[in-house]
Amino acid sequence: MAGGAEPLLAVSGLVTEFPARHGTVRAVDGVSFDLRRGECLGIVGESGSGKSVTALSIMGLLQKGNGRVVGGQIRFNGADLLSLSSRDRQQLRGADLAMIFQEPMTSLNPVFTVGQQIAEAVRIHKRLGRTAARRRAVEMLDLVGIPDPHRRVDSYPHQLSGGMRQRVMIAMALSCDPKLLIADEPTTALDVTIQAQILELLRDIRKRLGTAIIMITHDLGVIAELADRVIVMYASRIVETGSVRALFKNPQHPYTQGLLRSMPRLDEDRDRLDQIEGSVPNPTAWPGGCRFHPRCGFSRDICSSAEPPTVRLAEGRQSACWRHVDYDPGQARPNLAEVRA
Amino acid sequence: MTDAGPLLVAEDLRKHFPAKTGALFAGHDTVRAVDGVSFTIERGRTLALVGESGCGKSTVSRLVLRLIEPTDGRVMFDGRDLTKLSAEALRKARQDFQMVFQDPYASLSPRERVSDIIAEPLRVHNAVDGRRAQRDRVVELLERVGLSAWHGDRFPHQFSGGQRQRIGIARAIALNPKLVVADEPVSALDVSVQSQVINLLSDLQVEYGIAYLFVAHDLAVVKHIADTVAVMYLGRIVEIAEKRALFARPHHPYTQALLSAVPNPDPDARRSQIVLAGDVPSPTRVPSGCRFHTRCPIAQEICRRVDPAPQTVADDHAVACHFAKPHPIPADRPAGADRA
Repeated sequence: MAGGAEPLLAVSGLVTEFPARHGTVRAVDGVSFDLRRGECLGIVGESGSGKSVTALSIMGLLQKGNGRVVGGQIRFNGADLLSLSSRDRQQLRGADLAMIFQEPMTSLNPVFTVGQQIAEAVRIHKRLGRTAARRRAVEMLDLVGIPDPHRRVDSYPHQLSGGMRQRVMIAMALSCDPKLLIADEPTTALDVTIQAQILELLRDIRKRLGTAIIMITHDLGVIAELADRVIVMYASRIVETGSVRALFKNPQHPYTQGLLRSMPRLDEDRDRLDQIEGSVPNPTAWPGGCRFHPRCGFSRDICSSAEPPTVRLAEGRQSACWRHVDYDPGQARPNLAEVRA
Repeated sequence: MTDAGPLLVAEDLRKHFPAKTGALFAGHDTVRAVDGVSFTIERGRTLALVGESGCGKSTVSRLVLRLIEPTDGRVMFDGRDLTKLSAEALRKARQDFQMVFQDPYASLSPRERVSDIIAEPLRVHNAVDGRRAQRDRVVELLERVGLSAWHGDRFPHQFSGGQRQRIGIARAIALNPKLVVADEPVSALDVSVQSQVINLLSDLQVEYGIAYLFVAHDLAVVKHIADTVAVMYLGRIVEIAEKRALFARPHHPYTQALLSAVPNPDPDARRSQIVLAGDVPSPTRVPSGCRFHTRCPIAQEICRRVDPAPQTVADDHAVACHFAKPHPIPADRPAGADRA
């Protein structure tokens, strides 16, 4: 951990399960990472990788009777989140911890003005009076770049465009000065020119308020634009972690390599894209051993039989692949204690 | 059959929809979804239509197939005016142009086996003689798109998104069409599967000489697959050019903004340099003069008054802007470069 100070968020060994027709499905399986104060961490993955469920587990927003955290620990700002009462967690949520989603229309209440919705949060969490709360709402709308905030504060969500609604969501999320903002695909439903506006806004907010951000996305370009560090998830596990620069310039895990090479890019001219064969596995039937092995060009015997260790590499990077292990086929299992050191 | 000349010529296509406005005292406005669009698709080549939501690109794709009737303009396909064909003649002509949809979940009937889905166009157009020939053709198509014969006995829900899109493609090429209209065919797919489908479409084009009208919002995908790119804004084509010219020397300020807004997966790259203010205006209230002037960073007085006509700036490169000038975007967008 750089700096030695306690991280803002420390997730270790997180396991989240969902009930399925036969038994349970592990949507998150042993996820661990730290987040420093003010840092922007990207979590990238495809559908079913567990990136959104990781976020919902941190927020405590898994629906009762549905998903459940069954293992691991989440420490946030000194508190052990999983041992808090649901009341205490609710106190935290909206105040120190805030989240925005892909489709702002489904998270806004259509019968209240945006001002009322922002004011509600600050009245609950900051104990502000009616007038002060309204003033705060206008101030927040101004902060997120909504033109004419004194008038817009009385608008209903349907009167705003998609980009404006996402700005309102961000205003609401930031209204109580959270220490951490989790953004789950916040620009996926937006057009590319509006996406550029929202990314610029998030960059600006980091600079001005120092809010830590977890950015969840399937778009590697969005990560490169915004994040300091990135986690790559595949089939409910972390396969690679590193600084954005190191990971994009020199990916170590075969899945990350394949993902970066298969993307069509504006800055390249290629006749043919590389492709990762096969498709993303189904959570009800994760492949044994390394979950990427059926699609991996480097797959060996051990990859289908044993889960690869997470290997620490230079520059604070980690990658979970047997290729990083000096593997002697004569030996049943390599010495993992040595590897992890 | 005329095999000379372009495969498809769209001439001044227009589609205006009536739209109700106001909740109580309803008036009628016109949505000018497509407002004077012309382009040409050469045989075996790909034209990409790009633009943001509401620009009219999907409406154009439906006009080209005559799934909806144009308000004005015509579509010449293989030398014939599609807009004038009788229902029966149009049904016959449809063998030659097929469609692949964005959502492979919604465009395949959930109750039909995959072999029946793929065989349907063969049956409708009596394209093969007998059940055996039909079965052989279905197996051939399945294998051509990277599936296996036994997949034919399954139902769509038993497939992943990428596999379903392969099924949709097999159905589209069953009758050896000359044109396939693909509306956002990879945007619902996972990143690792997108490239498989893009490569498949490229291979099929080389093998069967299919022309594509490729409708997409993702410029990186378009750069990969297109020969010619048309950029649409509010019902109009604002710039059309051969792919390399468009990406290397975009002339229209909207094209330039669109290109610079694409997040670049290179952390050392220069950050977005042109962030457009505001939103796309509603197509019921198209701005006067140049439609883009309300968001344009270089708009002048004339732009508010005069609708710019497309002008040719180079071979096969036309731009509708009063102040069009080339704006090279460096291919590598080097680190440390200044913001413009």
